[in-house]
Amino acid sequence: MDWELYELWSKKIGVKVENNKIKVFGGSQSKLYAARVIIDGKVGFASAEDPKNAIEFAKKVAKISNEELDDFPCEKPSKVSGIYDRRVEDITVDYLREEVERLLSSTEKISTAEISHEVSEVRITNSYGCELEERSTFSSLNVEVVIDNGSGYDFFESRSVELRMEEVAKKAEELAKLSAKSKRIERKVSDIILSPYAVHQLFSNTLYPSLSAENVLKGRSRFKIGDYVGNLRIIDDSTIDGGLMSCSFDDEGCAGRRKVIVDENILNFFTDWKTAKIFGCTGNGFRDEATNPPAPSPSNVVLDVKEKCDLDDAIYINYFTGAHTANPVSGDFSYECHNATLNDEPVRMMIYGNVFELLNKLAGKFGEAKQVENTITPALRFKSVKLI
Amino acid sequence: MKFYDIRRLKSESLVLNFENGRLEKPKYVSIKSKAFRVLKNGFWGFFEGDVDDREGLEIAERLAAFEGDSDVLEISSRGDFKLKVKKDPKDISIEEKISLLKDLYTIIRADSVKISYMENKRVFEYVDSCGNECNYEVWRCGVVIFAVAKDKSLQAYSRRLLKVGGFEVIDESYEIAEDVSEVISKLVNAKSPPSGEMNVVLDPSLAGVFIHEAFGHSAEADHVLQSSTVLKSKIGEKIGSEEVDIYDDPTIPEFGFYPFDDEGVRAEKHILVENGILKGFLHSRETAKKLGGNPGNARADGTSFPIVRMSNIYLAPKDWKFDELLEECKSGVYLVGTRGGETDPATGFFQFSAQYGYIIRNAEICEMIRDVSLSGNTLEILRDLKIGNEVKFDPGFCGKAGQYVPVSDGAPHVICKAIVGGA
Repeated sequence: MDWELYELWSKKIGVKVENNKIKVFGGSQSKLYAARVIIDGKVGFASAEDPKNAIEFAKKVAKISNEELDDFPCEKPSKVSGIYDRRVEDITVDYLREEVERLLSSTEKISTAEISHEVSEVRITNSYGCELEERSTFSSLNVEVVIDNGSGYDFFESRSVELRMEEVAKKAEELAKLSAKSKRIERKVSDIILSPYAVHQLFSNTLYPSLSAENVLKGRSRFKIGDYVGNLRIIDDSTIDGGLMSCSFDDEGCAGRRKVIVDENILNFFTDWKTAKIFGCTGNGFRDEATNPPAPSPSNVVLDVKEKCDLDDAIYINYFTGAHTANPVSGDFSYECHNATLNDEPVRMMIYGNVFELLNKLAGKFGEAKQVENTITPALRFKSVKLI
Repeated sequence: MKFYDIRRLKSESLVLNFENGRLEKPKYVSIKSKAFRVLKNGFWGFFEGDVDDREGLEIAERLAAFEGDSDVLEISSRGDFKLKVKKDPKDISIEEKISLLKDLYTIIRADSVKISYMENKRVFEYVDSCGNECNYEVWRCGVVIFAVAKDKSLQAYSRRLLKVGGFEVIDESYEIAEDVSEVISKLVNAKSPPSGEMNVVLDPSLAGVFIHEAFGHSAEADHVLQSSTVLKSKIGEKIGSEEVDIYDDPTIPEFGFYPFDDEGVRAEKHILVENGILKGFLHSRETAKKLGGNPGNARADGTSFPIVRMSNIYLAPKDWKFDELLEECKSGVYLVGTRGGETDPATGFFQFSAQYGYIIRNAEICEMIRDVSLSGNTLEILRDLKIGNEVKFDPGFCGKAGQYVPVSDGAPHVICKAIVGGA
């Protein structure tokens, strides 16, 4: 029998703010074990609060499984920096109080806000000699502001302890004011510019699923190697200094690495250890929760376009409502936008289309790249998009 | 300290994924956790972790380090509850569960099929400093079917059957498999939808999502306290047509069922809207104390901090037969199934996506359309809603503040006017 044990320990502390007042000061500590075993070539998976139970349950699951795997990886991890900030370990009540005071002094219109600081440690061992562990930190802030009949939301995430209280509060306030004043535009075809946040919302729900090797192999993607995608370069890089998704190794123990997924044409897909046997290893075997088995998922996705563009006569969209309702297989989407501007005037509309057709209308990039969850991108301009 | 409570949770889950004829990524998950809340000087200290009760309360009390205006309604609640199931999932062999998945798989004609069977046992215990003590054991079971096929376009379609109960829940899964097979075969050749403002007939699944997303979230009392709902200050006001009655009822044996909420409050049906008039909000013990109202809707994802949530929210049936709704519509679209939606309770604007639909022409259902969404404003839609005569519930997991809880949304067919768009 071959085996793998994934351990996730985490410690979290944070504050919730409601209606401009501090409401809850909370902490948590957890440890979870997830085991995979290979018996007669079949994989069993189980998760439990202690390693012995996890292994025993995984053995039982393997007896009924058709999931096949030859082995588990044993690779030397990459060197990744900027993902651990010692100061997060020592956060005090006074530090959090000071953070909240800074936040509350930045705007008087906070509906809800949450500050969170987390330390976690992943440990992976397996019967092939893999013994890896990595400690990392993650801090986040999200703020919702309501003004009159408008609402605005902004957030900031970082591997270090510092959070941009004033910047996030001001941005949420600005978006709330926009939303309150926005007027629905007439049906038209227009150039649009998607903010880094809107790009992430759209691509993570429509484009990225089609770049998963598992989805390709199971007929849930339209892509094959060599297909033309558009005037776009997509790099998956889990080794970026301080990247929100950076790691020395993925959730199966494969070394973190930088790989070009799309350079106008499809060059590769995100692979976990199983699909790596077909497409090559990209170190993208991640668990969306510790209690789930690994599957191909992006790490830091860096988007780039050669051409630069300007804002002229384009609608700038800050974020979408209902981003998760897109069709992850066909790439069709239709979203509401309440925080958009056209020549500095606030507007609202529904935008609809297909992401794969939209990529052929990519005109260029605008502004500096910013990381939003797992996407690092500048704002992107698309030509002739249908709006209602 | 003014108040404390302790929750103890044990959860066991089995998930079997049958993908393209093979049992892939089966998993068993066992979770044990505790949560401790302390209210001191009007401020909540909260700790989540598997430690002994004394240590957990000490940590939570240390975290209650600020001063605030939080408070909690005193209640009286004690009891034990064990959901009676007809077929205990523990008594059904894993081979029988796999055999069911194989049977369902043979029904569906598609290029790629994933059928997931899931069972979960939640064992919950609650105690608080007011002397309340309750515990329960509830099973949830179900099947989710996801199919992908290609002809003129590559399309996906899914259905969910999820309820509280034992393995007997699965009995209805054959009908769902047949529906998936039939719909996906047509969807691949369906046309793009029209766009613009038009008459829309929503099937119970999509109408239920409207009631949940557009109305229900706006009726959560924490949003009232946060000044982030269009329903704030509207109690006693007419917010919808006289046909509109909306209730939230955790005692209905659907996916959002619970016997006690995560603050130990015994579950009961709550009236939200009757005859179009807003009668009440959904409450936790804190919002009920501050705003007046009945608690019982504080729920948590695992042992997270409980927040105000829906359970089984539904729009009550009225008199319109389906044919009469089509006649009323005359021309427009009939939208079926849901891929979810999102609403901004502060503004009342919503967006939902249907799984598919049909053009309605001369009060008749005509050609199929795909990837269609609708958007609008909650209060405008409620004002002009016409409601069908049979409620159906659709299950799902509702997300709020990063927490996901099982819910169901119920509604009959309805007709309204909204903005429709699609690729």
